[in-house]
Amino acid sequence: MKLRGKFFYLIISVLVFGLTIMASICPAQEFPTRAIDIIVPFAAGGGVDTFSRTIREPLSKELKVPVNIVNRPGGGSVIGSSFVANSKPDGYTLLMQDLASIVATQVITPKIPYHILKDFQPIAICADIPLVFAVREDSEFKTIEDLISYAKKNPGKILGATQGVGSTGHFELELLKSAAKIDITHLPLGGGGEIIPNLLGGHADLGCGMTIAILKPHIRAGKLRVIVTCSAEKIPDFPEIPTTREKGIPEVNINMDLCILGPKGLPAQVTERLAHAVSEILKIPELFSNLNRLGYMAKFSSPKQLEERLKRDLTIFFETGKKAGFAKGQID
Amino acid sequence: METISNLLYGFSICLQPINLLYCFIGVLVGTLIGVLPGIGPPGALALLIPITVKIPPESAIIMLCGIMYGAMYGGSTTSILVNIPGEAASVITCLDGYMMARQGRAGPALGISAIGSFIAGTISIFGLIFFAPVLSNFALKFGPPEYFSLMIFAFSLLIFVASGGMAKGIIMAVLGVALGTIGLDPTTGTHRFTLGLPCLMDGLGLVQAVIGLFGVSEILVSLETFIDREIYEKKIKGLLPTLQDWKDSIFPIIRSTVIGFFLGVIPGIGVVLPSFLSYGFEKKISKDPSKFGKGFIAGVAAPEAANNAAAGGTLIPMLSLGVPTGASTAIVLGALMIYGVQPGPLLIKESPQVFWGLVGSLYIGNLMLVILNLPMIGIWVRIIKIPYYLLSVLILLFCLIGSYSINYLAEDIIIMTLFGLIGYIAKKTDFEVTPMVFGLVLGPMLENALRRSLIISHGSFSIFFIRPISLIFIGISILTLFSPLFLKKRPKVVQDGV
Repeated sequence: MKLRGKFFYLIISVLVFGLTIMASICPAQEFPTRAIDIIVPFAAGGGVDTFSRTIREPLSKELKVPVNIVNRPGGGSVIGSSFVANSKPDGYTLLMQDLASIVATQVITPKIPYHILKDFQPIAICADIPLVFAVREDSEFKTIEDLISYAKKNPGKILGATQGVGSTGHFELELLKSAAKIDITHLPLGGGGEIIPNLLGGHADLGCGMTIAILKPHIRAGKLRVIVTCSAEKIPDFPEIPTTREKGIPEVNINMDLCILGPKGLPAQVTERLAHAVSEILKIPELFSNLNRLGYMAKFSSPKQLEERLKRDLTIFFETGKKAGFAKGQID
Repeated sequence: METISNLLYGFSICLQPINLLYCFIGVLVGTLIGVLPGIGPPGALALLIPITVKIPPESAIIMLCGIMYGAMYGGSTTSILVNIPGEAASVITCLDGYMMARQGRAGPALGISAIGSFIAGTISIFGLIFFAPVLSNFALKFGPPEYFSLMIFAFSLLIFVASGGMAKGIIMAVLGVALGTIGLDPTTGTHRFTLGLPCLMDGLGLVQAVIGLFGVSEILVSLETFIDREIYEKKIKGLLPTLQDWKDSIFPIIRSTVIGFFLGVIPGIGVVLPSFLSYGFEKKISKDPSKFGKGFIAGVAAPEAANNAAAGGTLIPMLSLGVPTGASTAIVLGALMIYGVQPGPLLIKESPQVFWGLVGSLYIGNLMLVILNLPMIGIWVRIIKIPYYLLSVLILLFCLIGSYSINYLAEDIIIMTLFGLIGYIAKKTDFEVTPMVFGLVLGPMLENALRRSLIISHGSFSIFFIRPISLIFIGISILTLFSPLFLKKRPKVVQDGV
């Protein structure tokens, strides 16, 4: 009996040992084999977080492994992003961020512990979220031309509200100022949805950095109006809103495209597999309409395209930020 | 009449067994996270949202809001029992609540805070039903200049919060304001005192600071004293408030409900400030302010009523405008969108089952909380009979978990420990830490409001005097500050000063 017990243990340990060795030396099994963590560098409840939680289940089904959404807020978004930049490049730790924010953070943060082009591997763009300019419904600025001509006559008189210095809205405002050669006073408000009450209450004239999803109920209730969208294409549900390109200021092009990045050094086949999974799930009609309802236009772009977007936006943002005097980061 | 039929409709929704269950889960989870220091409503809401996606939106929102106001009930428990606020909104409850516990009156303190919360919660529901549209328009009148004047008013009452010397209170408040400047400069983005550390970029975390100042310092002090604390051996005198307690508390509860509710409606104020202000206000108008800070029951009733009423008030901009008033409401708004309900001005019209179901559930939830909390008092008061050498280890453990669980950052534990040391030094030198928390909360709000106002006015200070609401607050602040000069009998608090 005793001997049998010992023998039994021996067999078990050999088996366990063998399996461990096999698991570690045989990469034959395709990525992914275990749960993937998607790091959201903000507290729960924001746009990036909502998006991640919406695609979590389809992505998990597509990759056949659990997908966890992990919030790592702090330091703007620096803490969560640098966590991913320093993680093991095996595809199990990924970053979900919006393009404008990750570029803006790089541009405005001094001594940032990572570089978005050198320390990250672009994987995919998942959705398009154009930023818009909004005013009160009863505002005298019916069109963007009204606003520009008023600002030309009254430099600095219009108050443009954003989520803060160096926020995406701030970049949007600065892009407009330099494209139209006008002066608008920047009113930096906090992040937690302070722009809408200040617009509604008449404490600010122009709302920057907001998306159509946030504004939709206020547009429908006849309280706020969107005068222009900063995207190249029109917003499907709101064809009456003109684009900046149509209005002759195509330089004002800023999108909070949601993208997935991994740490640099990710094996090519892992990047490929993840990008493919994203492009597959975005074809699911149910997810597509779900995302659309939340204000995200699902649109897949390849790792290459994402890299090009990052490079392009980084240059534009850096120049804009330098000109306005708040670019404190290094882009080389 | 229409309101009543709507309300009945609301009850018909929230009294469905399944919604009653969700309501109960919500308030229970809320109470628990309220009791645990560090883990606040926003964190719990975020964790629960993925679970709620599969249930109807009205059930989900009933549960999520239950967490929000349930936490206000639970937050006072640890404040009273062990001098550690479970939520930032219960900081001020420590002052008189813990003193009451030391006098063997933990039961009445816990009782009045549950009952005060219930009364405040109930009144604020009626405020929500009848005044939502009017109040949301009133809230929109608050731009940066109005915030600034409101903050000035808050500071003028702050002086009355400190029960020790006035000079020491001011020193601690100024220190708090100074520490509040750590982080990004709000109008230029310059890094201030961040030492290049990303963890300091968003400023010092309030929760870590509160846990350190109250919890860790309490344990450090207790290490010096002889292990058995005779104060706890005293017989516990009664579990429920006496008639005298009622007399002392009922008007402060009603006044604080009004203050808390109106402040809660204003976006960006949250639930912390109303609790401070109501305490300051009660002490200011009290015939005998010296009672406060020595275990006076009104000092527990007032802030607890205020933070609960404020939690009700924050729902108004959220439901009638779709505007978040703080971290918790922002998460609930995000959740509503996931459920396919459009928050915003049209919510009440388009999704009446969500709005009226929620209103009905607020009433039921508050009732559940009282029923849940009153019998718990007997269990809670026994906790402080645990030998302190065991209890202190548990408290320290909860402090560590609490501050780590906010961002999962080891740096937050260091911040908590440093604040523990500050709190320890303060206690040894007879400084109070409450004004410091006050400064830490108000400082950044004051600075933001001031600098934004000056951007709007292009640098002119006249903006604070030409806008009516702002002018009124400035006027009241001046009256508050200088009234002791005109009154014949100077309040005792001034005579206490060093």
